[in-house]
Amino acid sequence: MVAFLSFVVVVLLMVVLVLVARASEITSELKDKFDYFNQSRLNGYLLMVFLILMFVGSAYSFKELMPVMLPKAASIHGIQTDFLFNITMLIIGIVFVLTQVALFYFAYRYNESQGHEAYFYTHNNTLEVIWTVIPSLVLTGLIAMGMFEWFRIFNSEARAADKMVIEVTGKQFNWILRYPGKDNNFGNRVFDVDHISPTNELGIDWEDKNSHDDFMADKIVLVKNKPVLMKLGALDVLHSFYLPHFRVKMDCVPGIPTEFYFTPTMTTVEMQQYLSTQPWWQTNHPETGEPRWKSFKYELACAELCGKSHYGMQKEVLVVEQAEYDEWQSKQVAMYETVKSTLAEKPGKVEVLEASLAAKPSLELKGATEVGIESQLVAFINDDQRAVDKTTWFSFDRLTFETGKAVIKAESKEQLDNMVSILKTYSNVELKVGGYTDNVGDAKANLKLSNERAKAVVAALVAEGIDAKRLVAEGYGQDHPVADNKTDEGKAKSKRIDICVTKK
Amino acid sequence: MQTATAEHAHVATGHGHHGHDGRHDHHEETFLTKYIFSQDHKMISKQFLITGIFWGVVGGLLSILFRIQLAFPNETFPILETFLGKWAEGGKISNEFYYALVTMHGTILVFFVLTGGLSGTFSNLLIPYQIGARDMASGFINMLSYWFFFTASVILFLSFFIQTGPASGGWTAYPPLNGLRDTGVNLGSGLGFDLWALAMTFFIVASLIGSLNYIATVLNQRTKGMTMLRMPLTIWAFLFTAVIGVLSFPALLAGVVLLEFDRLLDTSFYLNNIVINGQLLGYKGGSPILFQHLFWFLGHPEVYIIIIPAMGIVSEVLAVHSRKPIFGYTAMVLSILAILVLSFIVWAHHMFVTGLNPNLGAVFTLFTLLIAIPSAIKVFNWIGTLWKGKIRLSTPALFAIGFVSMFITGGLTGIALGNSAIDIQLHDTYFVVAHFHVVMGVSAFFGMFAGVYHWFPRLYGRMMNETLGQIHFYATLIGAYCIFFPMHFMTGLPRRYYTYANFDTFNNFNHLAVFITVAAIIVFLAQFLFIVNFFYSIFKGRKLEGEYNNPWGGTTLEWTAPVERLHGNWPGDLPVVHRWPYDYSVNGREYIPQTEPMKPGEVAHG
Ligand code: HEM
Ligand SMILES: [Cu+2]
Ligand SMILES: [Cu+2]
Repeated sequence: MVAFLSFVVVVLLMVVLVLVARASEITSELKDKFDYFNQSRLNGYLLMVFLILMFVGSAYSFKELMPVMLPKAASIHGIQTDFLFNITMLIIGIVFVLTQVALFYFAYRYNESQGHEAYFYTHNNTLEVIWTVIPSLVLTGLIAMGMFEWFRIFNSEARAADKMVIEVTGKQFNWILRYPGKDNNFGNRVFDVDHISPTNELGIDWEDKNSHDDFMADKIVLVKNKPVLMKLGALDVLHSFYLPHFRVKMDCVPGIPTEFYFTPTMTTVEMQQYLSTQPWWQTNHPETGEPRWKSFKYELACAELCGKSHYGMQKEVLVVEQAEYDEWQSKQVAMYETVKSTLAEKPGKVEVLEASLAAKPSLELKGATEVGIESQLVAFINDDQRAVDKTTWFSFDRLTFETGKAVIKAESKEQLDNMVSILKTYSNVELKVGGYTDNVGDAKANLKLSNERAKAVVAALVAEGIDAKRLVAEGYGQDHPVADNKTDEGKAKSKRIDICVTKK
Repeated sequence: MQTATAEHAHVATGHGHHGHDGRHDHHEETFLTKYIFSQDHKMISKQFLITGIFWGVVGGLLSILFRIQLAFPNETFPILETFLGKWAEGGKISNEFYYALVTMHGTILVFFVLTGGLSGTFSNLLIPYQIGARDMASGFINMLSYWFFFTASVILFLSFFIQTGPASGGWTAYPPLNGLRDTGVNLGSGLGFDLWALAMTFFIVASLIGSLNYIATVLNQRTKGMTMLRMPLTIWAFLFTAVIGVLSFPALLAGVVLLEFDRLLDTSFYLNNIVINGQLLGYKGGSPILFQHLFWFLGHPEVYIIIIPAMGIVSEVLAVHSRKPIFGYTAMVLSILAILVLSFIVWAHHMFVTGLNPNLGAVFTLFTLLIAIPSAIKVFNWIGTLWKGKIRLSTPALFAIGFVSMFITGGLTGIALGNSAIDIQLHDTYFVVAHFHVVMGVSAFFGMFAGVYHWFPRLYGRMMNETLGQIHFYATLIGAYCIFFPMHFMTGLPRRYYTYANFDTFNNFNHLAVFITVAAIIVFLAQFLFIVNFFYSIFKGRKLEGEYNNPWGGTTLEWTAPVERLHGNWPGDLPVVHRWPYDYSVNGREYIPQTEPMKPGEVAHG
């Protein structure tokens, strides 16, 4: 309705404009000629007003937007390229102001209403040489500085021997992060059908001993002041490895390896501390309700259009001190460990090995059916094609409450236990639990009940050892029926507990 | 009557074709030959213009749709579902359709509006008129050029209505995303992309034969006395644009044909070791990067194909309305020439972070920043033209001034992007979006508007409404800055994101997204002021009085032809040129037409 009304208003406005314009034209026609002279005077003033508006607007943009831009660079080269960027923007800014002022001021000053004659002036060689040479010199300076930094970034000979190496492979719509383990060497990858399969997408050669301590992780962990070489690749289409805070970007190309070498200079905690001194970062985050700097984290994003869920390729990046890294690494389980047993049984049979990988982690789910919430949830978690979103919900099918109360019936235990094992197996997964009711009774009371029931489910899971931080409860009352509330059957369906995966 | 001297043999061609009197010497025209399959450059110009306006509205509308998604990622608009059906289920544009929208928006605006619509309209209208020719070198090929363009348009338009939707892998069509015909990889990479490729093929053919015709016409059909250095800057611009097009479009054609080979015949030009769902596909040995080289070998010159005609138009409009010669005519010609040459050796600045050899990156940085120099010269010369002029701030002049303002703003940010070390961070972020929309998108539109308002009387014998035009100007100027200026602050924000909700890092600009979208909607609506004005004025605009009418007091030849648009342009002999086109405010005269012989003792300029 609002949309329609605004549409009508806009159309009417335009009709009025057209009529006014037409009228002004007719009057000027009566005067025999359109009155350009006075129009020029008016437009001269308007252009000056615009010029001022433009500068006021620019200043306002700086004030409002500078604080929300990315914080200062957290890598050695990033500090340099930011410096270059700032210098360039400063020069650009000066030229911008000078040229725009000249342009609009001349338009105003020399419009025909000023009562002067035009000056026949075809060219001036000196002037033209000057305004060719000055930009050339400035540009040469910028190029020189830029090249100096560019070659430093990509100078592969100057790389430290004790650098870290991490392999990042993009695929639709996820990143595969492989660490070389203690030996700092990756196992070989072989691109043939014997090696590549749904469970070994990278085509890792398990017979290469180097692969035996390689491990995968779901975040990038870097060490402060320790150079890292990112070995980049892609399986299916182009992706681009983008670490905004470190000023790192490099395309990931199927079939062609690329790399990027850089050194992080601030741990995540140090960056948080730095941001805690910045006014904007001290304001509260709308979702957490805490100062923004507290929830700051480095992130990895994809910067090359790679398909429909391109915008969902997020991974966390953590920068820590060496000791913390060592501890973290010691806790990682080598991929080989999970496949070894199968390898021993049937040496050389890669497929079998991979089948066992596929089965991992093996879940024991009691009484779960193919259409039940357990299977749906596991399938969703395992499917890399399906990104986390706010609209995919799964309904508990064997969870019941005492009528009108938030007390879970004993018969629900089996399904709740299954949920606990799923959550324990997939330790990254975080859930939102939503409560819903039918439309019988008072809407407010329903909302309260649904909220309490969702909380009861969360409490039951926490009681079994799931970290409360991974779960959020919310009641939605009677607003989202899944079936027709007119039938009893429908009402029963609408009374439910749903879950939505918020992280996997 | 003229004699065909050796020096001006081309004049004879004009005669042979039309006789001495264009008014009476041709066969009866039917509706079909006059309005549809016309070989007359003026009619073809109008066809390009009106097709361009159509595409402009479509392309603009698409951008409004995806801007709505960007500004309100969590809201639903049931009305969208009413119109778009499955593409906006539940009133929310799906991610697949979002990418189709941005892809088609880019393709339509870059190729169908700002290349076809802009170059097609003004090259066709002005080349014969301003060089004093009866028509294009080949009217037939000119007609074909439009109909190839039309066919391309139809194909592209149809692709919106197929099951899997139009192409959705970006206007740059990078493989492998667009190189696999698998709709599981990308919905739009099915039939949608084939139609895109087919449309582009027709488009390229249209552009190529059109350009060859423009070049041939400018080189051969100039009237007596119209030496190259007496050509208005518009003609220089169209000539150089056509040369760039002829040299660069074939690379894109080759690129797209090889891409279709990969897609349809399973060749591996661009594909190597592709793994989809854990299955290794059979492609071996190709390189996705090769396509990018081919694409940008056209793609970069393409941006100049768009902007150079606009530059030409603006140069002419500024001079006419300042009542003052263009400042530095020779420098203006030479700088377009420099841009022409350099535009072929900067393409890899779009590929700094593809894993390109760093040495190559350095070379391309050098050339890229070099191209800023001729661009700067042009800007200074436009400002120099305004200086001490007697400027009539009519709508065309306002748009020309707006063009210069936009071109400065957008060109300057190119200097940041062109420096490869800085581009590592800026590549594929909103900073790039801001850069090219300001320098190319908005600027070229301003050039086009300046041209339409200025030459409308030449096209239709009537004036456009001035008041409406000025309102259109201010709304567009202010609105465009509101849309694109703030984007320069989004230096870290990746472009082509459906929503930023998955990242903490990118969630700081949500309020700005709403502002930008509102501004975009206003600017879009403001364009209807132009469209209404345009069509209204065709029928009801203020009529030019008298048989000859030169509403802006221009010196160039198009104003020496009768208001009535004759086949053959001039009723009697072709005009003869005696001087350069910028004799404004000289010798005590406000302007001296190019056809006026030099007085004894008068010094030639230029
Ligand atoms: C002053 C000289 C200019 C320089 C130094 C320059 C530099 C650049 C660079 C380096 C990029 C690549 C940015 C990236 O993707 O990371 C770029 C993008 C672009 N530029 Fe310019 N530019 C200049 C003028 C122009 C002009 C005059 C136009 C058009 C008329 C233009 C149109 C574009 C377009 C369309 C893109 C983006 C294409 C895309 O990625 O979709 N530029 N420019
Ligand atoms: Cu991506
Ligand atoms: Cu370019």
